[in-house]
Amino acid sequence: MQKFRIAHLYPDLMEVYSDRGNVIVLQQRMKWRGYEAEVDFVTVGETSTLRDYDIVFAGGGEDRQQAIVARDLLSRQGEMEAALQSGSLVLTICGSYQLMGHYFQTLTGERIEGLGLLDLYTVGSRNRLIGNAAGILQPQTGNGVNASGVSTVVGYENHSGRTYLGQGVRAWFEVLSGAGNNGSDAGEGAQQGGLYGTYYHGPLLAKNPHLADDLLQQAMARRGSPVQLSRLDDELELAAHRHILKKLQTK
Amino acid sequence: MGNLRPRIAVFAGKCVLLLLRLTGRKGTTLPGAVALKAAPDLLSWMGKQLSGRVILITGTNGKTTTANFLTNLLKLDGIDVIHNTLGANLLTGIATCLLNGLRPGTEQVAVLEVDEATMRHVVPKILPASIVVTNFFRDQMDRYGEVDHVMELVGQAISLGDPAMKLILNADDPLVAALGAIHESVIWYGIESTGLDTGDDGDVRDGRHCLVCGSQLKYQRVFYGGLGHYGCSFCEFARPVPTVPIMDVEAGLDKLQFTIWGMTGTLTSKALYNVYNAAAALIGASMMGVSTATLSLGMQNMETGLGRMERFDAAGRAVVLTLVKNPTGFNQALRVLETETAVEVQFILNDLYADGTDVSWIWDTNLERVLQQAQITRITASGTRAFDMAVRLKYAGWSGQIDVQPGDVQAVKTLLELPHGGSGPLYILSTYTSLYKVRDFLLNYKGGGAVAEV
Repeated sequence: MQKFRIAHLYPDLMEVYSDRGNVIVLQQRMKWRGYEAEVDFVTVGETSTLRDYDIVFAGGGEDRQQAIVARDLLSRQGEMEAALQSGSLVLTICGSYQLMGHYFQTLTGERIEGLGLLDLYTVGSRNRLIGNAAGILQPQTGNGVNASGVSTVVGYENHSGRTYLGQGVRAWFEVLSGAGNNGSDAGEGAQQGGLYGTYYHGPLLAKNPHLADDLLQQAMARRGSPVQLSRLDDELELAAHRHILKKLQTK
Repeated sequence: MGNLRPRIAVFAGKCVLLLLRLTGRKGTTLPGAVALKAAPDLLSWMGKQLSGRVILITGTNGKTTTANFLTNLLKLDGIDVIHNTLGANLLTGIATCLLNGLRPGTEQVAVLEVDEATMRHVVPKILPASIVVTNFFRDQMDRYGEVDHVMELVGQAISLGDPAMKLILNADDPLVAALGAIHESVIWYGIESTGLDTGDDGDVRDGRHCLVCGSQLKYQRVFYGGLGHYGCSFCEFARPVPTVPIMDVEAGLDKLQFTIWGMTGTLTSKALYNVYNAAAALIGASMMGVSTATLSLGMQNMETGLGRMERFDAAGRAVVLTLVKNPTGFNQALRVLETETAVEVQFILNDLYADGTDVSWIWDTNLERVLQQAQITRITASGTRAFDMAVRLKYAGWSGQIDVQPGDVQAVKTLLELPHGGSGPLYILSTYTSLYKVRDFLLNYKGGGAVAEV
């Protein structure tokens, strides 16, 4: 049986928005296809070799925890880069997504340094952007549309930071409904090589099974074993997906 | 003048209340809203009337149950109690309850459950004799924001209270324990000994890092969530020694048993968190002068109240209804399912404002464990977000049929009409906005299913 390995970074600190659900989704979808799917937890102060993993995941957290994580992440900068170069796919949500950029400037003017792996920066603001949201996959990023023909993505936004993208990076989704990265340029999330980030909670992959498969397939291709993943029965997931789209349309 | 305006406001509010009743509505907030408009200082006036006889109850989970327990204990002692029974815990709901129940010149006691974010508006006006803080968990992030923020709000409220005020605090919750640093007079309660298998649930631990220095907290014991026996691995911060220790918490058939002040009490609920609620209520009652004899009597068969592990007999079918609104409470409810030899379960997940519009918290629950441990005969996913619930169950490893029935009352009705030989009692875990609708339905099912005797 082929082994698929996932690293979940800071599950104890970046955990308040239920983003761990993404790891459950990735793991289960591989298991249902007959793979042995392993998840390892990595947190502050622990050693790790991130390049050994097919997917590296990190979620969102509270401000206090995010500051602790920021310090630890900086010490793993080289390791993160090595992982991306050796073909790991990295998925980051909300707070972790912000930390992949150059910096986060808080409301009080304090500057939290990021890894600079995504060409973007974030500025704090007083108003939180909260609510159900939807976007459409940009055709340039990844395979975009899978066999199910779905290209929309649904999620739940809850952030006060506004993220602005530089030249070296493109938005992962185009906003259909909701605020997106900063409420003004209609982009949501970012992608640069094998590194992905987005504000969408939900958890992101629970109601977007096509996106989960897209990432899994890319991860395998990046690691040198491209496969066409078999189709799963996604009736429930897509019903939940359509429910959000419908809810946003009738609002 | 200063005295007249509040009285006029109370009169205006009562008129609105009467009008609402005449038109057949309950009116838990509108009368208070009108009265507060007429006299913005109404609460201060009410606080003076009730001087020294108000207990506020706040915290994430257990507010309603603790307030119910406390009210029952006070009433048993013959005390006239004002209490916001229907859980209307915002400013307007509190004003409504007081203007409806207050009789100036008497020795009434007020037991008020107060929303965490509303506390700082209530405390400086009412100047309560005591505040109970049950716990802090992650809850409805779209509405309350992060746990740190909620703690700050409650801390602020406490600092606006009378310095002589007594805090009744849960020592087992590190987030609540941190409040001990800001106020002199504290009564701590906590579970000292139990033979229950409380094992680590993999619950979300909102407080697992020390609030003083940020280092990791070390737990010698975890009861649930972040509650347990803990201490900081680096600084001095540690679980306060309980002033009122809860001893020998044990499970009986359909019951929990515990000992406080050398007296043994029982709960008609199998959920461990109710032991904390009972302890807080007993301390509050004793502070208000309830006699030891009454306390000892009142702690027998304590009942948790509306929609909190409440049992019904729906035309011969045993049904248990309970409110779930965040991962910690949900996991505790799931633990109770494991105690049944066979059980059918229905989840009603809504996403209206009062439920929290973000339903992602269901991914932080330990459904994986209950699907393995409990003898579940049928699962139904209902509510406005029935499909989200179904997806969660699927990924938690439920390989059987997941019955998706959006809606609430109709879905319950459909379930009750299915054959259920040997499928065990039906547990309904519901978010807030369906809870009372389903409860009313169960009470009236086929000519009235009286609340079952336990």
